[in-house]
Amino acid sequence: MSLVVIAETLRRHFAHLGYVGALLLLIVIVVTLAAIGAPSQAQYEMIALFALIAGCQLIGREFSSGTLQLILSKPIGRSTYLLSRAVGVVLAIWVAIGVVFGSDVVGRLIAGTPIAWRTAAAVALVSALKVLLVCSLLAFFGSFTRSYVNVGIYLGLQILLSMLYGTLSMMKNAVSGEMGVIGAFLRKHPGVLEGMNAITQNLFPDGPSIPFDRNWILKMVCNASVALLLACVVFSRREVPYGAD
Amino acid sequence: MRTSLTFDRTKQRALPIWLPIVVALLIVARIVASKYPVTADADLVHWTDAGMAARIARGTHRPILYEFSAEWCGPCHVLEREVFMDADLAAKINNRYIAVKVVDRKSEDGHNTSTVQQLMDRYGVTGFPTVVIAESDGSVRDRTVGYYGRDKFEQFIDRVR
Repeated sequence: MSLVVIAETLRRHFAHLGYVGALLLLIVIVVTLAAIGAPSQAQYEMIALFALIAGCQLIGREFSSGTLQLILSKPIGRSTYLLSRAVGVVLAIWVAIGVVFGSDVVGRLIAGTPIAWRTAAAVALVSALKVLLVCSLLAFFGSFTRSYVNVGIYLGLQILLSMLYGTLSMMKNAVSGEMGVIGAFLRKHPGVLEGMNAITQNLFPDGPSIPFDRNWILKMVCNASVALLLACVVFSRREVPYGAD
Repeated sequence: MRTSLTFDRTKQRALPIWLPIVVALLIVARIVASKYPVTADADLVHWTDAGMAARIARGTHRPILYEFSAEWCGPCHVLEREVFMDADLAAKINNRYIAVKVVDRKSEDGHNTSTVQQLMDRYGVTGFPTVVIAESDGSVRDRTVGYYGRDKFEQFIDRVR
């Protein structure tokens, strides 16, 4: 891990007008929501958008702008660079989560509404781990494409998988016509739908039904680490320049 | 200290050795942990069996709190997380009510058990989560459909005395 790359990534975020502006907007929204007594979970929904925006340039820009040659002229391994970039972006978003948590508490104190500490901590943890997984996936998708395309792949895959699963779930109940054939196949092989559901739940997991669920936390960290490993494998073999404009 | 002059560039593409090891360890940990799902003592509410609830309610002079939910129902899980796993609210429910959890299994199993279906029919449950507060004779004191946050639910519990 390179502290220089992590620090530079953090500095770039904290000095970026978009990041600071979004954070200020987030504070206003969160304090308002907390003051009216909205559940703590609502406040963290916006962090997902934050992660996508910050993560879209996690990796890939180095290829399109050609700066990778310059970076690799320094004594740093490709994997180290990629991992440090990912850590920097995740830390920058975790700072935003910390700000949301603090704003939520302040908002509730101002309004005099009770603070459910355990719930608030649980949703903050869920949000932090989801950010870790999203950024790791964006690093992986970015390792073989370029900036912004990684977000496209992420969103496209999410929509495609849920649509496909929904359609096949409906087809499963069909009994006549061509749909009936597919329905019979799906009923005979329930593993198809179960497999699809498992893939969806591993890439785009729902929150845990139990706060601080050890298994859910492990799933998130494990899947993020696999995504980062794959990203490092692809990134270390990719030639420069690749798709340079 | 390593400098650019001593840095071996042939290793620039090499994977750090610790990364696959960490990933492998995490995968093993996940597989092992999946054998032990976290379910015990997750709920802080003391749930009572539906068949015994009326008798216990009569004996303790406390109303029954029925929580109707389903596995696929997202707001039901939020309700469980924010209310039934909250120490203060769970204690309130335990002290004031005989709590009964009624889980609809139509989507998963195609049908409900007769006890679940009877309760759903008796209280006209059409959406989840539905929370009904009833006397031991079955008469309804209050009900709420949907989940609108912890504070609203606490107000609901406090409203019924």
